[in-house]
Amino acid sequence: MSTGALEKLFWQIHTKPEEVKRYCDDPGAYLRDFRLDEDEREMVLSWDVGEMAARGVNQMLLQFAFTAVNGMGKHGEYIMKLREAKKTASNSEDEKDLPWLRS
Amino acid sequence: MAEVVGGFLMPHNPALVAMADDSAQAHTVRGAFNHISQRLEALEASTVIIIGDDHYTMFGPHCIPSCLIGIGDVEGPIDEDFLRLKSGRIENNEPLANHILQAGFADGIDWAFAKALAVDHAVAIPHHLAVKALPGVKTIPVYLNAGVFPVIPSRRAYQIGQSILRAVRSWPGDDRVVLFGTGGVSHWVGYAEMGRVNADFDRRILAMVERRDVEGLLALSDETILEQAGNGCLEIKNWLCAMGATPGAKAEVIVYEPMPQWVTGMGFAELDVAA
Repeated sequence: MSTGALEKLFWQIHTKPEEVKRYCDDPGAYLRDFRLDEDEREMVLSWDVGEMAARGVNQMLLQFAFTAVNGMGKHGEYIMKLREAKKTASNSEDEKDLPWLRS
Repeated sequence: MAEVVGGFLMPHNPALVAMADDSAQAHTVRGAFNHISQRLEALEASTVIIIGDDHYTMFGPHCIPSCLIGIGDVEGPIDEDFLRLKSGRIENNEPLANHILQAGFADGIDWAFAKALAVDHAVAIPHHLAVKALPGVKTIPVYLNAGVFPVIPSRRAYQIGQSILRAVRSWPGDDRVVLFGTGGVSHWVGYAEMGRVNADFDRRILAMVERRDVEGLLALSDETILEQAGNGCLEIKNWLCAMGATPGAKAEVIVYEPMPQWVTGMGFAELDVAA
């Protein structure tokens, strides 16, 4: 697991508009510049934000990168993905371990 | 002899400048900034120290300072497209900022420092709404890490405020200094709960501020704050820093508006040093 590499990728996309174009032109090629495991590459390519959040990627940055690539109009989709991931987690784990679900 | 003449706690929500919102709540919170600006005039403030936190925009995974002071050129906002706010120069008080840095070193504060700093909205919005229109009033930017884990411990944020106060009091200039602690109250940035506001928790925080219950605020763990009020509420560390520099001040809430449409509980308070 390398959240540092993921955050390096997302920070670059978030802070440098020209990098968004490079990413969008060929995401697979772009990701080869970062030390990501194969499952991490897949998470990025499918924008599995729930899993990346669960692995500890900074969610503020994750949101910025998601909207930089997918557009602000997709922000609702980002939130829905996170909520769906939480629902899945709550069905598979003891809720005592997920206090944020009770608040 | 320089002195701290006041303090204010306020949000730095981008919606303040980026959202076209003509609601009564929007008028109320924008009016709170006008009120703060008028109070700066009444206090004859010459320098405002704006304490904010980076939103993973100025600093990246290659270097994330725990506490940083801008001692040279300052401009911003760096996130101007997002804010629809034109970036420009922000007048620093370089001699005093350098003194706070050096006095902090002697005081055990391991400041990072920036000789040329482009600030994000955490400093730029309070400056734009409350300081910019006041001729001659300078701004010293201070950044505490409240956004990227591991974040600065709350007690350390408070101690930094205490060190700033000692530095100001030992400065031979005649500066009249006001501190802004910015950010908060409840909001979830990039989390599934985004859009939720925990007004009960926010009012509890503001009541603790009014009681000057510093130990109570310091005792709130980061986990509790995250659970109850989201990652954005960790910005009350900036408030604690301002409170550390204004001991004995009478704290009074200016206004509180829970604004889920702006994804934030918007809380303002004055730390009245003269009262």
